[in-house]
Amino acid sequence: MLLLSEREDRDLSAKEVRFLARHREVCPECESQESSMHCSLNMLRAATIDVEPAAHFDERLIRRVKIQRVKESLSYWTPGLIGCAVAAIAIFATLHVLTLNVQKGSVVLPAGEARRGPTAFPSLELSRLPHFDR
Amino acid sequence: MFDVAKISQQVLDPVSQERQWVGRCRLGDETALACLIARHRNRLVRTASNLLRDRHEAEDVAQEAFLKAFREIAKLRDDRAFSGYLYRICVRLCMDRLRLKRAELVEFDSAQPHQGGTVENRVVIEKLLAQLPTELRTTLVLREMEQLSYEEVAEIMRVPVGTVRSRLHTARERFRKLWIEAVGE
Repeated sequence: MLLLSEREDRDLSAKEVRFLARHREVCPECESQESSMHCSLNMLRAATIDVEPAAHFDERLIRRVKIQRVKESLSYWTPGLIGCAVAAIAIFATLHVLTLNVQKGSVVLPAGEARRGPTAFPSLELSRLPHFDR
Repeated sequence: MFDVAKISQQVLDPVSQERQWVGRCRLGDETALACLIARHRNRLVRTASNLLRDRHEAEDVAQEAFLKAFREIAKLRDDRAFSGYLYRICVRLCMDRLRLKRAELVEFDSAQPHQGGTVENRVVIEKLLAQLPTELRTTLVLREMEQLSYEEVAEIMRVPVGTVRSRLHTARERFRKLWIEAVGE
């Protein structure tokens, strides 16, 4: 049986051909198997599909390749971009917090520091100046 | 459609030409990409059609194979191996689809028994092939329809040549028995 299958792929040697011929004479079962295998394989070969791709196959594929490349570059840069965004948010938040602290700190200034506003500038007490008569 | 002959003005042997295209494609050259597609599309679609017995599905699989190959092109060690690599991906994808289909077929068959009646040769062949296990079916189609050598089938399916020989023998025998049953009906 193996020889029958191999006969489909290669030229059998003279010895193998003789063996098969002798065997066929005494074994009708193998002869029928050989014939049915030949027929079935011919049917199979006849059913081969030989189609060409559709007209827009290339365009469609190139478009998909481009989309794939964009997606790949996005997925490559996304972690970096997210990292940058997080760092920027962190810097902004830190600056904001610092600014708030500075604003709060301006209410309680250390003593001796010059201050603006009505409390910062003592009123000129002119009445306490010595009066000189001419 | 892209015309390879027009695009490639230089007269190079196909292997060096392909190696050049693969190198350029890796750098993002669209012309090289189009050339590679134009060179391999017909073979890929034909093989996928014979394996899946469905033209539209075959085109989908061929496109997927191209996409996967282009995605992995940077990892390819030998540029000359591109065509084999692409073909292997395509056959693998077809086998995956066949396994899924086969699972569906088994469920369908258990729910609805076969109905008798004469059908055309192609439909009979499709039915018979659908009853073979994926590995046997793929080996049979690659050898009988695609006319590949044992070595080529072995390389594509990543199995030893001896395995291909034994699978082919089993596949032919099972196909013959199925065919006799179908013809007997």
